[in-house]
Amino acid sequence: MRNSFKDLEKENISRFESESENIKNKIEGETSSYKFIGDILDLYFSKVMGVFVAMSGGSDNKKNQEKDNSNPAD
Amino acid sequence: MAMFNLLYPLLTRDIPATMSDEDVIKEYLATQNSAYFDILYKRYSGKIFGKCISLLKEEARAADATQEVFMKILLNLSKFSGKSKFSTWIYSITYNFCIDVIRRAKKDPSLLVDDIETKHDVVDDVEDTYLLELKVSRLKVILEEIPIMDKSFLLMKYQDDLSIREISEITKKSESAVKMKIKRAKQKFRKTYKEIYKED
Repeated sequence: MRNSFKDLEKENISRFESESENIKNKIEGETSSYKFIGDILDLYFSKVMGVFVAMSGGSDNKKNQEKDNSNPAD
Repeated sequence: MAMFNLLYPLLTRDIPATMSDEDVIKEYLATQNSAYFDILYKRYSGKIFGKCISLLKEEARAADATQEVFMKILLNLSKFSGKSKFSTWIYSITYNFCIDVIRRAKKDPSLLVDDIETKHDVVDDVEDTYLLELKVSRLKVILEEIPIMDKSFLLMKYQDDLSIREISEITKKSESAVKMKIKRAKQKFRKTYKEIYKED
């Protein structure tokens, strides 16, 4: 049986070919911006939090662990 | 860019074209390799654009919507549970996004009186062949004329081959409400057709 809805879909998809690459580039541009922001946050957020913890009188667990490891005699 | 073009075939050559959507998603989430994104884009971007242009009518709006829908898909990919088919999940995002755009743009009254309508009785049924064997040019005209919700139900049933259960998941309506909506949409379709093409 014929399906005019499917024929219409094919027609619409064929109109997409000219736009496809352009849209894909925009999506890739947007995702790489998100990734860049994510990487920046990953890199600096923990440092900033560490500063806050230190300022409020806490200590950095990682540094303490490293100290413990370098002094096996203790 | 030249380097990317050189490396691209190497990055994609080991990915079989028959890989299931679910496996492609798993690999994309694990590796963030853009080759997996390319596969999803190739499989679904045309269909998403097709739906957007059917619902939003203008090519430029459909292109913007396709981009936004794809971004939503990528950003929410980790939330895809696999309970439904990936295609159903994608269509759900697409239809709901487009309906939202129209709702915001012109406050289509058909989007508001939607639930009140279901209380009316449906008199007679319209055969599927009535819609399926129509000329594409006429189908286009009628789909432009009927309310957006009716158009969405017809596209989901006849273009996407979604089951009543899948449509009920997408629209968040009961299965009996969906059946009634489709019946009513077909009647509106026939009524509009008769008004426009009086000679037939």
